[in-house]
Amino acid sequence: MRTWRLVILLAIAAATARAQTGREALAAGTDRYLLADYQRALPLLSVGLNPAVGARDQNWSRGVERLADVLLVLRQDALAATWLRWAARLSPEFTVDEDLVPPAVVRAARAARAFVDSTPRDPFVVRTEFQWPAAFRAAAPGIVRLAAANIPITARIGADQFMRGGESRSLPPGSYDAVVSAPGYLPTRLTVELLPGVETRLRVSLLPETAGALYVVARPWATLLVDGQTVGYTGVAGHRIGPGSHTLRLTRDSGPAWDTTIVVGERQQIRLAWITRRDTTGEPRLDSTLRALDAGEFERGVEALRMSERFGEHAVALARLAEASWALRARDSARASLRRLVALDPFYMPPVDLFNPDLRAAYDRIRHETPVIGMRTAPDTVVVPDRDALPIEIAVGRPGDVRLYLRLASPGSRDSLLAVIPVESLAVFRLALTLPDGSALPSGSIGIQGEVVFPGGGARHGLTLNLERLSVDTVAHMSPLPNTSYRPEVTKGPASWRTVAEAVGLGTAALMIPAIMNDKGLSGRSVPLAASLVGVSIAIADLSLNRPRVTVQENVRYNATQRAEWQGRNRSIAARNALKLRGTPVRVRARGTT
Amino acid sequence: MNAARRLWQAALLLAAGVAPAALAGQAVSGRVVVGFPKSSLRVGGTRERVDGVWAGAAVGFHIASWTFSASGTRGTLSPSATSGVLERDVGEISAGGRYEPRPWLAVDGRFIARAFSSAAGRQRWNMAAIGVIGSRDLGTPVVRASASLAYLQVLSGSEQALPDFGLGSDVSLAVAPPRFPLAFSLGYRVERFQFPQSAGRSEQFETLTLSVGLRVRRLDGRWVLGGRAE
Repeated sequence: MRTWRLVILLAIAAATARAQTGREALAAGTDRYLLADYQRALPLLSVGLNPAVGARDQNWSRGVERLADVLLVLRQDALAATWLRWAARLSPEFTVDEDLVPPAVVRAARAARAFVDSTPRDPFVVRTEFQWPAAFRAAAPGIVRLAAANIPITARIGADQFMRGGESRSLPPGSYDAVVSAPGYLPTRLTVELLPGVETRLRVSLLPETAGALYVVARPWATLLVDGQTVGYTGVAGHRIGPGSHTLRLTRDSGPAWDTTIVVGERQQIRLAWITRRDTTGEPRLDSTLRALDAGEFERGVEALRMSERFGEHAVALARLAEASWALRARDSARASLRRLVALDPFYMPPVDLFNPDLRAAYDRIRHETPVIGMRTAPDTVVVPDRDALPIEIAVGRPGDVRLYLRLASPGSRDSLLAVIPVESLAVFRLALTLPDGSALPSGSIGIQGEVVFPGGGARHGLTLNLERLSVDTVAHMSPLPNTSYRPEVTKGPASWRTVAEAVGLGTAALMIPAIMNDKGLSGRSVPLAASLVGVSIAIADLSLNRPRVTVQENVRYNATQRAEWQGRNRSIAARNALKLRGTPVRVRARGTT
Repeated sequence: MNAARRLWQAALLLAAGVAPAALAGQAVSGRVVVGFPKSSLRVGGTRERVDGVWAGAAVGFHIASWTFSASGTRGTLSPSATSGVLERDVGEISAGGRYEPRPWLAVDGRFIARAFSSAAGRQRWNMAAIGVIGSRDLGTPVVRASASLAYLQVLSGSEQALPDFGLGSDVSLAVAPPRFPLAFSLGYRVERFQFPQSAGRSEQFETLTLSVGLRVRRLDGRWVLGGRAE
């Protein structure tokens, strides 16, 4: 019931779209999309994406992602995936704007790209054409047609659909595996996306079973033409080529083209290499593998790199693995290698002669999507704090605001924010080796922490700087003034009546206790002299010690002046020392931390 | 022999149990004492008074709120005038313990043996004393005044007629200057003994005492000089 309602709605909406075709429909569909009128946006966007009526530009890409968004909103997830796969297969540059589209579209687009990368097709054997419907019909099936050829070709579509050249089949929209074959020719396997109401024509030029394979490596990269037909950017791996003589041309943006003629034998593999610069890592095993890649042995080189335990530690090895995988049309593997490369070394910039424009675009896109940050500085350098600043290079993958924190090594120190720098790709921060109060940083270790934060994640990286002051001759601070330099700030005041009463009372009590015990008849005295002596002593001691303390303001002022003068002299010394410290060269040894 | 060994083992066990807990608050003190004793006696209608000087020493061991001390003094007493009373030697030893439940209050228990010896004979009293001591700082912990009252029970003696009991009192003033190892005190002690009515006798012993002491305290794991002597 719900499906029928959707079909009726889409049919009504389609009727309104009949008047608009091509990019006009795309613009109209965009308007409806922006108004959240998804029912009407769907047929308009579908009609407007006809690749035959305009360039596959940014508007076209935005149209695909909006159509996918609409379909996902309408719970047509499978159809959204089919459209995204179709766009990814049709346009290698197709990508969705991950900053704008909903996460569900981003996930679907990534899955579509991975699917297409894992189901490559040989563009020289199979070409596809599309017959776009004048009006979009939601319930319409997709049509696949096998173009007639001068040889008796047959195709198997999916599991159970067979057809001959010139025949067609109507099938539900989706992705289908197809195998096209003919007696005496190499069969070809391909994946095709059928869109609702769209006729997909497969034009197949099968190669004879005796065809050879061509491998071409060039550095700097070039565009390869075989018999005047553009094959693509180098490297080229496993390009099928018929037996016989062929003319090859390598063209570059600058410099003359390079022409040669080859004669291909039956089932012969021909490997051609034009290498002007070779990579080395210093590890013999890895270098041997890189030499194999330079010789056009892509499969062996990729296998050897993957088997090597330490290739992941070398950016150049990861870059070469990506390049070779790309040439083998293992695009998903190539992108995985590029992601590892960006994460391993955010500073790595592929040499301009290594990555062809397609691979470079993929690298830039992956770098732009990957939240990663790296910081580095010279491992051993000498700077003068009041004259120089220590340059710290910062590299990020995904652009963002980098927050830099200073962490002193002293126990209990807290991070202080040094700067917030917007970094697009690379930036340099000049670190002043002074504290906020202008004094020189103390010798020892300090940490510089870089952090870039995005919604849902982020990255951080740290540098540890070991500062060693090379030489310094500072004036010693003054020793504290001796206590005898100060005057007493309090003195005993006159005794109050209460103090006198307490002292007399205490002395009397001390006297009376033994006096009571005393037998006058025996000792001859009612109060023994010794008891009197102790009692009076206690009274006098209590009286003298409990007199109130009076502050002598004159002495307080005198002492304060003494202290202020001492501190002033020390401040002057400290200022002179600080100037000397800031002018003293500091050796900085850096090491990176995670 | 076996009893002595068991006693020795018990003492070791006791020391092992007490020492770890008490290490932080222990102190040892020693004092030199000079006193001016005076003994007054009345038998029937006859009264005799002798006074003189004695000197001696005292040692103390302080653990937390407990103080154990022992002292010994010896001197000579002479009559004040030609009264026919014989000159005599006097000596006293005492040992006891003190517990301070509060800084201003202490309870003291002590055994005292005091003897007089003259050409006419020898007299010795063995006494047990128990008393309370109150004390107070006089404006500063450096100077402290104290007073005590004690009950004395004569346990045994060399005479036929022994007192039923005695009462004693002591007042003193102690000074322990900071950053100075010595401490000083001035005290007066009086003891009055009550005899049976039939004995027709009363007796009083008093002494003015000056002492100089040295105290060693356990502070932060080290023995340091200074502080008030007990």
